[in-house]
Amino acid sequence: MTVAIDSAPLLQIENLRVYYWTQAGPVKAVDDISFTINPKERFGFIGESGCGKTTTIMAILRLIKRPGRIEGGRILLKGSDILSLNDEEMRQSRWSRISLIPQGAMNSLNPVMRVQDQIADAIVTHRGAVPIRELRERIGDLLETVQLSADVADMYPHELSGGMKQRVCIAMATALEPELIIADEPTSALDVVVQKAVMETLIGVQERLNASMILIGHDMGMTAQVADRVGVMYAGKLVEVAGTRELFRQPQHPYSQALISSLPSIREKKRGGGIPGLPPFLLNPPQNCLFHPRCPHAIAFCRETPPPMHRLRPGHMTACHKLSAPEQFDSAGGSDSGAGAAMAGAGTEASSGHQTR
Amino acid sequence: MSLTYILRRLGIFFLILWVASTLNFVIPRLAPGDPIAALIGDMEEQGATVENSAELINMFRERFGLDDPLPIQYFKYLAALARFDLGYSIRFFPATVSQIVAAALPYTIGLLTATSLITFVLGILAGALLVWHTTPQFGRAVITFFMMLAPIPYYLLAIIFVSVLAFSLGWFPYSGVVSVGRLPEEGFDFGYIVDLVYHSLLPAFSIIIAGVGGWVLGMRGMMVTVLGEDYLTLAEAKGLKDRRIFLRYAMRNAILPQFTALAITLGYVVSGATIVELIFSYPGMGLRLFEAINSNDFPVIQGITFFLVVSIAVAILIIDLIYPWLDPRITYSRK
Ligand SMILES: Nc1ncnc2c1ncn2[C@@H]1O[C@H](COP(=O)(O)OP(=O)(O)OP(=O)(O)O)[C@@H](O)[C@H]1O
Ligand code: SF4
Ligand SMILES: [Mg+2]
Repeated sequence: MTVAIDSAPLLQIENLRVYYWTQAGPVKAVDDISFTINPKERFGFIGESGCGKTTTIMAILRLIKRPGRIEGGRILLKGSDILSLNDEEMRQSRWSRISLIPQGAMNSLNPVMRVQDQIADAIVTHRGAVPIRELRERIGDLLETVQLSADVADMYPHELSGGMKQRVCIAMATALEPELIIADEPTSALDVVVQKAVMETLIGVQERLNASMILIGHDMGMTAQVADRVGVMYAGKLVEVAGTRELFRQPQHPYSQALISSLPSIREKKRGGGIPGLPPFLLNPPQNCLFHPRCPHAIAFCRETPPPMHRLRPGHMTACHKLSAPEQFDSAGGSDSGAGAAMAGAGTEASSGHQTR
Repeated sequence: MSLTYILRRLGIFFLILWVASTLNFVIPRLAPGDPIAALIGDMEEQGATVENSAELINMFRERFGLDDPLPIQYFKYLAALARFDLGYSIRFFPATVSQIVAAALPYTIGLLTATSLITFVLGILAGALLVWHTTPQFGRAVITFFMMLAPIPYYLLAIIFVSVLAFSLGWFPYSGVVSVGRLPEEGFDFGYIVDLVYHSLLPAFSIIIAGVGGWVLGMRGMMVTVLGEDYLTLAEAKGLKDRRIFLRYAMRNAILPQFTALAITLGYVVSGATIVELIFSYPGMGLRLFEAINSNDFPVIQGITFFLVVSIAVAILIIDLIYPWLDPRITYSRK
């Protein structure tokens, strides 16, 4: 690849909005977020459960299911908007250009099909029929790149361990050498030792393909280690984007600060799915700065005006008035209301923005 | 599939047969007195004349060796059963139960196997399509209509069909399997087959239309579950074509539990569809069973019941043997 191509972003998300139209009203799962991903880059997403990470990446694949709908925005892949593709064009770009290692990869393989057939399905659909011997060879090679023996091809998913299934998913995601691999909590169901090995494998194949990667991690420590840049999401909004080191050393947004100071452990949560009992937070969100009820620095201005995405310095964006309009805070003379108390537990209190069961 | 699995399944199969036949032996003997004499006495009391009654009683006594000690009777009975010798009909003596069954079975199997399979295929497809995202609204409405027919008993439809389509409009024959006096010619007689199918259309329709809804319901439920599975999301993310996802990922998994239900349905085929056969005077097992019950022809009742048990056991044996092939997980989960 030439430097010229490398410098243009691979993926540009502009003002993306995805709402779930529930009976109780719209859930703004992704609300006006913008970010870019450069070639070969690993972009990490962090944020509490239910903040819209999965919704964002499913929108990139245009796999949002009812009652969800992409309400607006643009998703530019190498400059062309995939939201304007017709269904057939979109189907063809899936997997060949953008592949997915889904959340819950444990159950992502069809239980009644052999591994070989499931990988072959992707290859044959996009590349046309291949002689069976050649296909076997290619699948064997793919499995080797994820440290699996070629015999795994003839096995059924239930004959594999969790780590092996995850590796099969990785092999499958790289079968067509896509430009972008999206990994949604690729290691969350694995035990710690296997997690590390699987992550190394994933990074290995991504680098070999020169692909970009979006990585959603339930484990912020892991994200901090592998991502080049990180986006912090809060209640459907992107509140901060920065280089990994910079973000973890000096988070700027009050929410990022709370989240990162809660390291190492964020309690894991189950997905809400399409079931009733939605997070009251997103159904009836606070106005303007969504974080103000929990923010120790909140002033009346935060409740009255939405904070714009603000560039602190090249490559570091954040959406907080305290950083973009500090003069407001001088005149307000400090903290408003009793929100400061809420701050103390903000990072560890993972139940906010999500239903508690 | 492991050999032990096959052997264990075969073992269970023979166990079922043995239990069923033993019950068949024991139950009539629990009644006090001589069951055959009592039965014929009953019939005569009700004014029926049983021809050759003395001969019949002797025949039965000898046939069952009713004077032998019980264990000997039991073994003789099992030996006879192994040869499909189920004894004599009381009503149609000297016809044997096996002869009566053999005469009725082809009609029943022909009608019910065909209708069961058609119903299954239609119901499964419709149930799957009902919840598939590309199915047009109109298609869904039609399927939902048939689904609502599910609670209507099939014989009610049959009665409606007979009175409207056969009696009032005269479009279809209302009884029999072939036109009166029609006999098959030598060799392959196409006209005869057409006549046969024509006569079975109405009973077939009533069975199919009333039966489809049940399959639709079952399949729809399973489809909804499967559509929520992660492997379906991944199949879509893979950019597979819609039809392939529908068939190989969604239906292929949702259909698994339906196969067991199909096997049981097919097992029940030999008992016939009593009421439909009655309405259409269709000489299948259902009609024979009805007649036998009406005339206390207990060897025939027992014979048909026994056949039913055998055929359900066979159907379940077959489904169990092919299930590991349908669902690769099964050999392990039942180790
Ligand atoms: N089918 C749906 N119907 C209604 N609301 C939904 C649906 N799917 C997701 N949501 C809501 O949208 C919000 C974002 O969900 P999403 O799955 O994107 O979160 P997430 O950040 O991936 O969370 P997690 O870390 O638990 O995977 C949540 O509040 C969730 O309740
Ligand atoms: S805008 Fe105000 S309330 Fe929101 S994070 Fe910044 S300081 Fe806190
Ligand atoms: Mg998620």
